[in-house]
Amino acid sequence: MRRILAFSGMTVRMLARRRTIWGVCALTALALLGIGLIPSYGVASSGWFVLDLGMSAMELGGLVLAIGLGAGIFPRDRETRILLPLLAVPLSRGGYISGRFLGGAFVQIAMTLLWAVALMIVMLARGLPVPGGFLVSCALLGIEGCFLLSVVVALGFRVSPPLNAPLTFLGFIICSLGRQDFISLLPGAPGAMGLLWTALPHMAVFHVKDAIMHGFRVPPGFVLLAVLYGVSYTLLTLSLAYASFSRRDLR
Amino acid sequence: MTALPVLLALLVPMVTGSAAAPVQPSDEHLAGGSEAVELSGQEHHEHGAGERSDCTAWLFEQPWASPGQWPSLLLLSTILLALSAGILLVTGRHLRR
Repeated sequence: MRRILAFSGMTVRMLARRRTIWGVCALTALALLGIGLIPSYGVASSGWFVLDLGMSAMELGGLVLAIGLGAGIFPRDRETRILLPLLAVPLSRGGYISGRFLGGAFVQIAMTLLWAVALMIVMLARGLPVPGGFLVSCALLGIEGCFLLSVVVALGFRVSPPLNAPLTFLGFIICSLGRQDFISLLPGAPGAMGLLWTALPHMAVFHVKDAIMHGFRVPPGFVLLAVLYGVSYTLLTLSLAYASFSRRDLR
Repeated sequence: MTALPVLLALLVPMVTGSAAAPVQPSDEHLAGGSEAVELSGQEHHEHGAGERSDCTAWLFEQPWASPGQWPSLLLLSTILLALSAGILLVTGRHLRR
């Protein structure tokens, strides 16, 4: 475990040196600032769209960040030939995946926290109240980001980075569809599509922004359930990545 | 084997959509009062007291507002965790060989 934690620390340092990450961070911060500058035109409920757009920007920023963090990890390690020495002595294949994912997840959560603080500053600067449950909503976006990162890392073992990004985007869009919208993609087979929809992860589970925007209290039991749901899917994705990586010939 | 009917009873409604029992807006909300804060723009209510609005159905059908979906989510999470453990176990055995 100590080796994996040390390796995840190395991963954080490696990721922090990349310009891509800081680019995504800066772009999302700029988007939040832009949202904050939208004039209210005297509309009393302008806080509603600042929060809505702000949290949507955070979610999309999390998706792009996950792709930026995870898509190149395995191909780059292989290209720079540090993978074989790592696996030869200090790390098992499972340790490699765990270390790289934990490092990436740390950066993902740190960035989500940073954006949450930025959005809070924007709202307070506009004299808007920060609703109760705001941080809970941001925490669920962080969990969603970690799940997306696990998908990107898992895909990274099989597909190249240019293909990884559109596949993840497509998956994100499909997983954001409601049941009826998903079935309408293939209306001829509602049963099979309904079953497939059930098996797919639902991004809606992590979305509580509508609740906090409209002043409804999100039950703590549901928050715990959403965290369990996100962790379960993340573990499954990483297990599949491990199974895929363990059969891979690295020579 | 006795777990199978329970499993189906929890998962099938989620597939067919009949498990979605949305949280109803509170009596106070329906009566024209509000539990919401100023942020929500309550002045834009378009339904009369005591009536449900189709315009807001999307809000009350979201997972956080549909306790009917929660047992299915819990069951699905448990299945996923068991599946992960199974995959790790099988892969570990494969690697040891």
